[in-house]
Amino acid sequence: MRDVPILAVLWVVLSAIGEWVIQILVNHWPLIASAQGEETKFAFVFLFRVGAVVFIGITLIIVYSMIRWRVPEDDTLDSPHQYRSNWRFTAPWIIVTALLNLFFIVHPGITGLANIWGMAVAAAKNPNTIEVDVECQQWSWHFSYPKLGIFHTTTLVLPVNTPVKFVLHSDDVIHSFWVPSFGIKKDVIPGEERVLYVTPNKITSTKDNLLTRVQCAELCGSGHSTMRAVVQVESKSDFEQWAKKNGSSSLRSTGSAKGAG
Amino acid sequence: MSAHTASRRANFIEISWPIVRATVFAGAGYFAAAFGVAAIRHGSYMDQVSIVFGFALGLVGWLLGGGALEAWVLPWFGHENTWNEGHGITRFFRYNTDHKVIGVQYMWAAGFAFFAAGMIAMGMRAELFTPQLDFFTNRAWYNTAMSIHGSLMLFSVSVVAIVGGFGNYFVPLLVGADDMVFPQVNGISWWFVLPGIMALLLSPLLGGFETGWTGYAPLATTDEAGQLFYYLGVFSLGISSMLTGVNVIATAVYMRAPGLTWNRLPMFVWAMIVTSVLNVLWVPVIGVDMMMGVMDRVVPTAFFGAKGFPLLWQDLFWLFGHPEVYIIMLTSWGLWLEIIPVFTRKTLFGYRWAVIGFVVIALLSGTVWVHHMFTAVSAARLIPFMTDTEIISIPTGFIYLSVLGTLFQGRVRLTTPMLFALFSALNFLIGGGTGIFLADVPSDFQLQDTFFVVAHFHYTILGGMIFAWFAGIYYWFPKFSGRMYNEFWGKFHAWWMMVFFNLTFFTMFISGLNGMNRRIATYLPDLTRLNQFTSINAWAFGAGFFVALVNLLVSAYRGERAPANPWGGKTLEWATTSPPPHENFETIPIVRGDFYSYGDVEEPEMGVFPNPSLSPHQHTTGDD
Amino acid sequence: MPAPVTYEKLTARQVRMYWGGFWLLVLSESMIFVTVFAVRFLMAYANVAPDVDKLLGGLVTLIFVLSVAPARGAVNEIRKGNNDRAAGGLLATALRGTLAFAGVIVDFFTEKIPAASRFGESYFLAAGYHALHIVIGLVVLYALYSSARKGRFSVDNHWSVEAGVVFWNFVVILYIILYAIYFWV
Repeated sequence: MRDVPILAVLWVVLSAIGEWVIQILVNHWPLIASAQGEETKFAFVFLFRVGAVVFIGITLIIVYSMIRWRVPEDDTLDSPHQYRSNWRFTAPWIIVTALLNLFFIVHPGITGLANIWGMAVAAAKNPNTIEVDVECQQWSWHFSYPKLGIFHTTTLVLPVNTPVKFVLHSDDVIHSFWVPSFGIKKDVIPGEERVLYVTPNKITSTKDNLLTRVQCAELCGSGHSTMRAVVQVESKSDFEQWAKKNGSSSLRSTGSAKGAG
Repeated sequence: MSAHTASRRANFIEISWPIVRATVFAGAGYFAAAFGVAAIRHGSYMDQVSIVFGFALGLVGWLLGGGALEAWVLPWFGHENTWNEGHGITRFFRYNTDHKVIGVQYMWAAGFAFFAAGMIAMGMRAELFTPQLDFFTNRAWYNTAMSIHGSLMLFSVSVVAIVGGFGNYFVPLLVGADDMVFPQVNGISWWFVLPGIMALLLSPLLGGFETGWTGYAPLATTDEAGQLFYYLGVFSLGISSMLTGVNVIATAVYMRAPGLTWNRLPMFVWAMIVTSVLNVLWVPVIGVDMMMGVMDRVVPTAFFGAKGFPLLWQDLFWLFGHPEVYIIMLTSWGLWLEIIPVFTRKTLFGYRWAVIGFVVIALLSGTVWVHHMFTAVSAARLIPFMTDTEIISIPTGFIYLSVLGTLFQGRVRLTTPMLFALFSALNFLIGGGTGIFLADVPSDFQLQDTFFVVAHFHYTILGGMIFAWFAGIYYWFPKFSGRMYNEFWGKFHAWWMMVFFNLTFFTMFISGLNGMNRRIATYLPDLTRLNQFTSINAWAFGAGFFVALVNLLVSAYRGERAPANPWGGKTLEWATTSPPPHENFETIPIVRGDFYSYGDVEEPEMGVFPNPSLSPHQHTTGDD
Repeated sequence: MPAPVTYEKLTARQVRMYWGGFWLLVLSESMIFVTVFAVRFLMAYANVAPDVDKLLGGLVTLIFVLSVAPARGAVNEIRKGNNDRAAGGLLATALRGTLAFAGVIVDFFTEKIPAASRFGESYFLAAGYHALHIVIGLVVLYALYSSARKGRFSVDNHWSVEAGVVFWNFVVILYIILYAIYFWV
């Protein structure tokens, strides 16, 4: 059967091309501007790279079969190859798919979560963590920085490379707090408190890149499409200036963070 | 359409009077209840309590008017059953207990709902062609349109088309039976479908509803009153699923022809059994969820409010909702495995593995639901549900094992049904594969509620199930209509759909990654190009269905007469005429081999002996 | 007019099929109550509102239990082909069931549990769903009674009676569970 070696070669070649295409895509990836976002992006890209090889393999066999063994539609002969099973195909298939899926659970699944949780735990202990209370209702966002004495602003201003603890509350229905370039989101449930830790790591703003905006990501009624807020991630000194101008206490406040979420 | 039915054509009144009577009784019941309840409560006939009772009594009226009065209720109380099930075309517009008629009724209902929801989708893409609001009057109406589109597609097309349509028509044929175990229950189960569809389509009269097909509370508690028709319509559709589920399992268990052992059971029947088990177990859960939603609006209780458990709605919804998507896909996979051996004339590879795959998927399907809620739930739930969700990919792979093993080295005839089946497999590969990105929690944290998810589920359901539905339609069209469709236009339709489907939905993965979230009528200008590309391809995609519609309708009347077995299939439906006679088989077949062996693996014989005592149904002396 | 339908005897295989399908239906219905009872524990944990009317609930439970005996009697009679005696048993069951239903309605309107409390909501959800099944059960019983009165059943064809009575037993058992977990646990 020369088909198997041919398919193997085609698989390798097409996978190589596929990985090359993926690399180009990765180089032009939409903006990711937070440490957590890098984790979520890593998970996606990893799965993409491995998944592409699997996808190419299966598609290849189907398309190859459609071409290689095609006969006219009025053909009435049975195929000369008949078998109900073939352990040389079945066993590797089952073993590899099982291992691959189990592997994905661990990496990038559990490892990714561990990293994100690790960042959250570190941020909870970090005295420099900025706390932002996010209050949302149909259909707007309000941000308060209790320790800086800034309340109910509609623009989210953050310092770069500083952990931020978002404390999320909803006044009415379920919303979801999402800044696309931060690469992570959290639903906001009325009657409950949710916490999201994010560490922005690039200076960016809605003006520079529309992906840096707050966007509600859970359908909340007719205003859902436009439930957005402007975001500005600035250098630490710019942020301190902004905080002094708008707030009533300094950036460096003592006092521990409210319990980890 | 069998030899002994009347040959004169029925006139319009004979055809339509049961449906008209059903509508009249429905209206009478609705208004009687609505006004009655309003009078007792000193309320209005248009308020929510009145609507709920109105719908309930209207549904009863609809069922009675269509034929249940003479065929169910009166005989229960000891009278004779005087219901005439009609002949020729009149059978399809009234209560009828022939599973073949019921199957066609389900197919038409699904087709109608598919058309309606599809037209709505064309409108949605018109809106999304530009970043601003220009097609719909306001965003609330866009949300309503989007909600009706999703609800119709998920609740009245994807579970009705194959499970209701082909399941009812072909399960008895495939097992060699002359009908289902409970023909009367089967007959009435279809009548629950149209009220569900109409409730969803009429919800704009009550103001529409904005929650999408998922109906999340607490938005559902506070938005427009059309939400009530969502709850009630879905409830009605659920009853249909439950009843069909019971019938299918009983038929497959008890009414198999002699010699049809479990390990010879056709793949489509296995899929139908497993699907029906899921229906029987999980549909009641969503029924309760819907009732709680009604109570939260009408009483009002506060199950899902801020003081209650807002996430409870989602938990109950997805407890049903995830098995639901397997209910949708299992029969599609069954169709692949029916069709591919026939058009490769090659023995089905890995039959046992495929069956194990179906069963394990069904078992696991009830354990994964939280993956729809990863961004909402506490950290403790993330790893267990991520684990289960990843694991369910393994049995899903068994199905591809079977597909590839059968296809490889076969003699491949690329007829229309085969094209659709293979395209379905290719599309589902993308759809299922992109599910992995959503199963992985870190990746999902970014992708949840974006157009990436929209692309994923359209690839699985549209690319997977709808393509499989068309594979089944073209495969079985000769059998149920007695004529051949036009092969050129069939293939044209297949390629057109494949190309434009992929062009439309692939771009949604990209827009999702570029920050486009779901369920929005307007978006930011940087996404315009992508959306325009998507919309244009979507319209082309939609236009392609008209090709199919014309082909199938014209062929049904003018196509070449089909032989009993145009494809050379070996399952039992091909062992009878096209279309089958009323009792399906002249004599009950006896099975002596399996249906998927070709060549010298095992030559099966389809022995048919005159053996009427084997028929589980004794025919009554009444009208046939 | 079609000729009068003769009710032919049911084969053993048919009876098995019908029971198989029937138990599937009962399984499906049970899932409703599994969900409803699970919601009750989720919302109110193991608490029971202090002001539930245990007495009324107990009375209704008693009437339900008493309705089972005539139902079983009816089944025994119909197995021997005695339509009239079976009809009597079915009527007795239906009447007691109706009385119990009346008790349920009274309970609905007189319960002092606040409807808006978590316990109250889940109680009314459960009681409402159960009441719906009582109504279905009663309709079935009255229909069977009416058919038996017309002599429709025979020794060889009475499966509907057996199934209908089993369904009624199911309704009664559900109420006993409901009473236990909403009034006492």
